Amino acid sequence: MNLENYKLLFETSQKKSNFPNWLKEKQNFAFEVFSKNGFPKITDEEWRYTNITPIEKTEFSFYNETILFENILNNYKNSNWDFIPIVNGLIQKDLIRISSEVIIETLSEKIAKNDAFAKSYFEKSQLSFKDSISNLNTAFLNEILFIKIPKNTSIEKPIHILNLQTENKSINVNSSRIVFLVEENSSVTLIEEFVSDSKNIYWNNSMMEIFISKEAKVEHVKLQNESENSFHTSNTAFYQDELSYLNSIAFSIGGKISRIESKVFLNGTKINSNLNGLYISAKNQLIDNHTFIEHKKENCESHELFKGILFDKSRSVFNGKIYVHSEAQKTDSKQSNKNLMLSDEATIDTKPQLEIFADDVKCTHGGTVGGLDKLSLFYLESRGVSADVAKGILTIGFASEVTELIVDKNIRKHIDAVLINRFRECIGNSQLPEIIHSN
Amino acid sequence: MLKIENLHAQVADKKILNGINLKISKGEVHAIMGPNGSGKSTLAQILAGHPSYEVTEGNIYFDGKNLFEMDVENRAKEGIFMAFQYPVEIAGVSNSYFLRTGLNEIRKYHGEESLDAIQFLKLLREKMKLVEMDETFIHRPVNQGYSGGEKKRNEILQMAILNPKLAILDETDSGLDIDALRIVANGVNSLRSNDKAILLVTHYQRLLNYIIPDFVHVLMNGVIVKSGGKDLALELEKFGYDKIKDEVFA
Repeated sequence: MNLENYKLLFETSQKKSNFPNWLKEKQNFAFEVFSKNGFPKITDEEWRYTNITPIEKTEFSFYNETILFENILNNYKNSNWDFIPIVNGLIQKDLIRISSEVIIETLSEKIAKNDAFAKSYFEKSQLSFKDSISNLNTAFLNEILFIKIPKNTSIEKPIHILNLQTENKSINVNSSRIVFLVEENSSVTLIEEFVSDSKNIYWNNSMMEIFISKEAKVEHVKLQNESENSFHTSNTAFYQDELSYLNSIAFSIGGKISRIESKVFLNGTKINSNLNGLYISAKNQLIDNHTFIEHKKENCESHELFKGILFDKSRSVFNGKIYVHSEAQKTDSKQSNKNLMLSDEATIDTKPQLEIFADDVKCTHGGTVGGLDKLSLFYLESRGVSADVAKGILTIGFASEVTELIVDKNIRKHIDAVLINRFRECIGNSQLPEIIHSN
Repeated sequence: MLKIENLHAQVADKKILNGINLKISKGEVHAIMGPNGSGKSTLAQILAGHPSYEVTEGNIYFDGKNLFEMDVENRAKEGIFMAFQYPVEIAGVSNSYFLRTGLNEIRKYHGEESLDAIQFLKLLREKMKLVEMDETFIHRPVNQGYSGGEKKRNEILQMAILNPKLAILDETDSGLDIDALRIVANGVNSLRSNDKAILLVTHYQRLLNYIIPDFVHVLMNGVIVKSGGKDLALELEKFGYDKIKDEVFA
């Protein structure tokens, strides 16, 4: 879609918007940056392996009617979890069901009651004006959902954020954004899920920022299971204060082209940060995981495990940057990227980037690209297991190293089931077992 | 049951077996002994179909069928089982699923009905008692986090469940303490019958106190240099492999 059309849509959305002028100015600024730079090109180092021309060429509309049937949502609801539905990019505030301790407010509500945080959030945000993609999200924002976990509160039920795309006449772009504030000594588990009930073409350009205060704990699971014709770009930032804990696991299995960017800012000392992921690409899919971990202070540890399984002619990208400031002595940082190639025609680009400016640190990284282990296949087949099933079993085994990092057993079960379905599609074998974990 | 004729084999251009001849009949227990590097494990691996070994000469017939025309899973279905010296850890799949899948494939091959989960569990529990494994192993991933002894017992459990015609034990005794050795031996002995055969590959005579062989063969430099009864093993224990080396290569 050409710039003129984006401009037209932007002007229309600004006319409809009730946001105050200070915010509209920010959106204008964001749109100008996007207009000036356009879509990222493969000549940009950060986009070398990911060609998003198909997104650029698609004609989109930014605002669309949402016809919502609650019974569709019920298909995705889990009775054990709190529930925040976002349908076609629009936050369904009335349908949110959440534990009473959690404080939920939209940006509009914050503005209406002159909450200073509405403004200061944009000063704190590292993502809002980062690049063309995130500026586009800012320009077309119609709402932000702020979710606060107050001090010393432990939220038992996982919070399920469901991003559902329903069948739609127009090809829309969703610019949703959620901001989490996890206050001191609190803990929360959240699962972000992106699904579609059809094979629609759409573009989910979402953003999430999570502020993790001193001694707070966050378990974060993300499942990108978009329609096979869709585009998915997401930007996630985790801001960690001293003594906080993060365990994030991102599963990317859907979409035609997807770019998942996760950034962790370790702003204090003695932080424990875990950023993990699994991507499964098949057919002509392209899945790009870009991560960035920034160690600013001393005595922090970060662990990163990303695994990929590639079928057919698919492509995947892993780019993992770790930046250790000179002040961040005694940093302990591990990065690992392992790829299982199940087709000769699949392509993986894996790139670790370590930039270390402190001298007393322990930083390791490693990457593997290979097929199924021959000895393991031999072992299984020597017990009568057929070669096809043996391959399925080993593929599941490869994935299980990531799913077992999910602490919440219900979430793990849900993810396992989705993965098994995906494997059945990719391998073409209905005879695959459940995933069994050692813990 | 098993006939090995003039078997030559190599791994990555390194010759390991240099003309092995061996016949094993139903009901017999054979032990193959030899020093490190003699090729005894290679022989076991080739029988099971390990992909790394290349047979350059010779034939192997199992129940009259050419073994080299069978892939690994078909050898298992025909009734060949090898207990691994280093059992492989398989993440993400439970012991019971893995074994039931294998067993049902083998049953299907012989025109027998598959066992459902409940029937299988009954069989599994019964055989687990035999090798003194507790029930938690039913649902644990295959060999993952097991101790050395537990892995070996799990091999014998698999053997007991798959009920092969020819069981090959590749240095199953290595690294076992005396209690584990007794348990493993009990499991193997319970498989002994007139229509089955067992091939023990071992470095030490110790195992043969528990599983009494009918024949003992000494393997050196890829050939069988001496065969005899169970007393040959005792002789080896007493005088070591060097004495035989002196005899043979003098």
